Amino acid sequence: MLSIKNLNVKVLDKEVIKDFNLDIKDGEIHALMGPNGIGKSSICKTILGDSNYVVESGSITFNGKDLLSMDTTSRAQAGIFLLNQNPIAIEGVTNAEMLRSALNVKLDGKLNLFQFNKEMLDICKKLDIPSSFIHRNINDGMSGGERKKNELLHMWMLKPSFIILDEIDSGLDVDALKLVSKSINEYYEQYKPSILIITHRIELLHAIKPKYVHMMKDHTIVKSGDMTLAEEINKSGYNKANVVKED
Amino acid sequence: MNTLLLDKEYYHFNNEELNVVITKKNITIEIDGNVKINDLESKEDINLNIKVNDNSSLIYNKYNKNLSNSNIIIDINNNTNVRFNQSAYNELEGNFKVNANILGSNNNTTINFYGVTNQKGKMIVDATGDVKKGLKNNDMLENVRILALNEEQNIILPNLLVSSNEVVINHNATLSSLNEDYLFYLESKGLTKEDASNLIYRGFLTSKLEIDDETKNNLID
Repeated sequence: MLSIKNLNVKVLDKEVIKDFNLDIKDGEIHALMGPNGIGKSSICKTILGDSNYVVESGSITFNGKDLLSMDTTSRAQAGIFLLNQNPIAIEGVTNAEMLRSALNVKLDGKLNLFQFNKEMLDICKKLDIPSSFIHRNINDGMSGGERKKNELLHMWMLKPSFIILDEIDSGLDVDALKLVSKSINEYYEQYKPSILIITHRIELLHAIKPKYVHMMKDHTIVKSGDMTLAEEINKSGYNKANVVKED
Repeated sequence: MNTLLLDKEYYHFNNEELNVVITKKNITIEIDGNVKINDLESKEDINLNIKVNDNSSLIYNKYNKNLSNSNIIIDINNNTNVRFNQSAYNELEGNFKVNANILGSNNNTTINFYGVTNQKGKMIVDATGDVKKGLKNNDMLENVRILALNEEQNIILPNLLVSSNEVVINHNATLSSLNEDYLFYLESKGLTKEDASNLIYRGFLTSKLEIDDETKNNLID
């Protein structure tokens, strides 16, 4: 699915990712943990092709294709989806307009509007959000919790095969976190995507159970393991966790 | 809703909601009661004087493409509520003036001007709020924004002329190009750059127009 080899990335001449390696196979769930400012969100932006993140060396392949040669649109159309910790609001652009445009590209202009509308309504019901969300401006005037649900609406409509959850638990109360993780688990059961979870909180990892957990330090992965590593980090903190760089 | 062709110099509307197409260059419209006007299809340069009489409410939605000159003067009397929402798209140079003259007390006035320039388009927008001496309890917002899809330099001249001590008046003016964060967000959902740009600027132009979604969707080519 996704393979990152020896990746080095700079933003404005500052190194944000150093010699980063990660392999995620079809249907696998991985978690990436690490202190603030260590480069976790930079990995997300680099995978999606944000032009501020300049790849100095290394490679990223997605389903065997060279991701770095693709623009952001092509990466998204290939099935990559980023669920952001703080999704931006866009005045005057509705969810329906955005999703119609995206799906029209995906379906080569053959979007069935009746099916589209029906699916939007069904998903709103599933996410327990009012159908008025469909015609609301993207994330405009929404609370943190509503924004996350709105992003889930996008996820269910676009049906990605690789999902990056970038600190989606930030700003969510206990109930909202349960609802968001329940929806992601349901999506996983139905479509079996690969998932990369970036988080500080063990609660999210208890809810969406990753098979692999990676710890970042100094802008690279320094340790990989399973949920016991996440438990160790949760118990002792990043500094005290047993940090031994992998061979 | 009725669509009225305005081809004379003077009109008086009283408690009406209507679509208009203005073909007369110099025109005065007088407002009484609750009036909503959608002026979305007029194609000619214009000198428009709107007089809002006492105890009246006006919502005026205006959209134009490629005007060279648009000169709007709004005279506001007592106890009124006025929202004047103008959007303009220009691929040529255009001079726009919106003057709100507060002539009485107890008024709530909002002036929105949202412009987009593309190709050889350039805008000079002169927005003036003028509150005369001795008036009380006036609240006014002047909100002028221009989004440039091209490299031309646009100009906003925001003026607040206040001779009264009892007034709350605010203005903001922004000149910007397409927001890179918006573009990245939409592209990361799978939109092409062109589709993303179109959605952003159309959304910008229609965001303050108080019209239904279907009208918004059909408004801009």
